[in-house]
Parts: sequence; C-alpha cells; structure tokens
Amino acid sequence: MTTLVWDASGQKVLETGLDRGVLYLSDGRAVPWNGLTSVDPKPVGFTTQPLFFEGIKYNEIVVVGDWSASLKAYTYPEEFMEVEGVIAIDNGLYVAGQDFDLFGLSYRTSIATDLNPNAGYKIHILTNLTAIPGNSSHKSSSPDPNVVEFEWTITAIPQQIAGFRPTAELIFDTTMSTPEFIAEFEAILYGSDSTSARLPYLEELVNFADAWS
Amino acid sequence: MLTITIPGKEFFDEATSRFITTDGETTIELEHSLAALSKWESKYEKPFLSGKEKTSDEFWGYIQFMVITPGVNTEILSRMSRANFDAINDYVNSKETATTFSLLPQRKGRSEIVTAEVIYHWMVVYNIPESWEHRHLNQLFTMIRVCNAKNPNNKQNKLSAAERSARMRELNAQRLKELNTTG
Repeated sequence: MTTLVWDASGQKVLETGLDRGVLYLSDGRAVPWNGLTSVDPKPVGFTTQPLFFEGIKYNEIVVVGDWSASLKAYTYPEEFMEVEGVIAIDNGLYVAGQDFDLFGLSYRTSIATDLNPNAGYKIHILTNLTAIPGNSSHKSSSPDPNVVEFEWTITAIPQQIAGFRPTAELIFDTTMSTPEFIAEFEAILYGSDSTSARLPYLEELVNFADAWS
Repeated sequence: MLTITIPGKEFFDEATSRFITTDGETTIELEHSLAALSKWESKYEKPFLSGKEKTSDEFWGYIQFMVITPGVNTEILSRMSRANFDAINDYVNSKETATTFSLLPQRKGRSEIVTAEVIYHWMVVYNIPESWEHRHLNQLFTMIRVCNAKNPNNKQNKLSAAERSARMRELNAQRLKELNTTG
C-alpha cells in the first residue's frame, strides 16, 4: 500500500504556446499556418439529465454536446478564404458569397513540467471544421489596428471511429510515445521527402497508432 | 497649444542702408480649439466647419480668437511672418493623435452641419470633460469618434458580413506582405 503524495517533483504539468499550425483543405492540400495564435475549445450543449424514482435521484444521463472552439490568428493563408466561401479566380479576382468548405487543422501545444520546461508537446488534430468569422467590428478603433487578431468560431462534424463515440478531435501527446513513432506520425501530418502532408481520416490515425503498439 | 515668436517691427535705415528691427520679438500662445471656434461663430454667425473658403477678415478673426496669451493686440499679430503662418497652418492641420480609424465602417447619408453647439452636445452625450474645449480640435474630434465607435448601441458601427470579410482580406494581405509569410 502507498500513501498519496501531493506536489511531487515533475507532477506539475502545464501546456503553453501554440505553434506548427497546418491548414488542411478539403481537396487534400495542406498549407502551413504561421499566424495561428490560439485555439480555445468552447464545447456547447453539454448537459446532465437527472433521473428520479419516487422523488429520489438515482442516476444522471450526460447529454454530449457539440465541439466548438474560438480560433484566433494574426495572419491566415490565402487558401483559408476558400473555406470562408471566397474563391480566387484569374488575375487577382475573388468571388465572395460561395459555399463554406470543410477543413482540417492541426497545431502543437508545448508541455512543460516543474522540472522540465521543454518536456514535449501535444499535437491537436481537428477535422471536418467550419469557420464562421467573428463579429469584432468594434476592435478597429483601438490605438493600433494592427494588433487586432482575426477571430472565428469553428464547429465540427464528428467522424466515426470504430470502438469510440464519433469525434472530430484527436490529441497526440508525444511525451507518452517513442521518437520513431513521433517521426512516422508527423510525416503523415507534415509531409516528408517522399510524401506530401495530409490529414487522413481520424480512424486511419487511430489504426496507425494501434499497429505500432 | 502652439507657441510662436513674432518678429519685432522692421524699419529701413536710409543712412546705413540696412533694415533695423525694433520693439523686440513677441512670443504668443495659440490654440485651435472648440473654445476658439465657438467665439468665432458667435461673431460671424456662420458655421466655421462649413468647408467654405474664409474671407481675409474671417481668417484674421479666427487667428485672434486662437490667441490665448493676454494683451496681444492686432498690431502685434500684423507683424506675423510667413514662417509664423506656416507654423499655424501645420498646427491646425495636425492629427494630434495616434488613433486611426481605417477599419471603421464608412458613414453614409447626408452629413450634419457641425457647429460649436453640436460639438458641445456630443461632449455632453459622451461625458467628455469640459476642459476638452481647450484641446486641439482634431484631438477632440478623435475622442468623439472613439466614443462613437465604442458605443455598442450605434448601429452604424456594425460592419456587414461582406464589409467585414473584405476588411479582413485587406488587412491579412497587408500583414502577409509585411511579415513576408504565406500565412
């Protein structure tokens, strides 16, 4: 038997900065997103439904809501306009008001502990996303308009993964993996000398991880 | 506030064939403010900010109202040099602020005739301290526009979806160029 210990060395873990943003378009293209500054998940619709029998609560049903997030960026790739329904045609002409397109996104968050500020990182993978531009019309009167970040609300359509509830998000914690697997995994998402970066179905990534273990 | 130095009186001394300056220089302070504008409109009974060309008399009248140094008479003002006029011109046209409004929605429709009383009304509506009537007029206008832009009840502050999208594209393109990045 062991006694619980609080505040042991190395147990204080936190996630810090965001980098390596990648935008995955529905036609298979992947482009780096250097100006991505934050993805702040804000799930909506998660509630609990209490069940009573003869006036006594005996259970609760958790109603799973939708995944949603606030996406912020200082700059965005021109390709992102396509997901907002703005299509580029010849000679610098854009056609606005077209259908919004689904897209995918991946980004890294750094992991730090009280012993190691560079303990590793997590790769967040999001798929089947839709981005609605934020309504930030009042921000433009700030003393320096150049510091205004672009903002979108993103929602997702979950994908089926055998053995799990449908989801639109995978999180890969590299501190729990091997360098070889990390390299292979990143080669899929970021590309390599022989392959292009791509965002496969989430189930394919899950199966890929299973095959390694 | 603007401080200028008006040169002294100049005479031509025929005996020495030289210009001689007498009476010494005079340093005066001026302000292009709501207070000056209000006094001018009281005298001429027309809107100062009408955009119409001012007559010489009206122009001189405004400079007199701009002066806040006591005891400065028209004789002293009549000695103003070209450099003095340029300094006043630069001061009146200066922005006097770092705030920019490039991304605000453009106002449409007929513009209101702006008089001193209208500006005082805006100051009351937005609780701008009375002391601001002595600030540079452009600074006061900037403050009023900021108050207006920050007013969540003002429907004119809302950008349409198309306007917002266009603004975002424009700003993003500018940033991509400045940072030399693709995204």
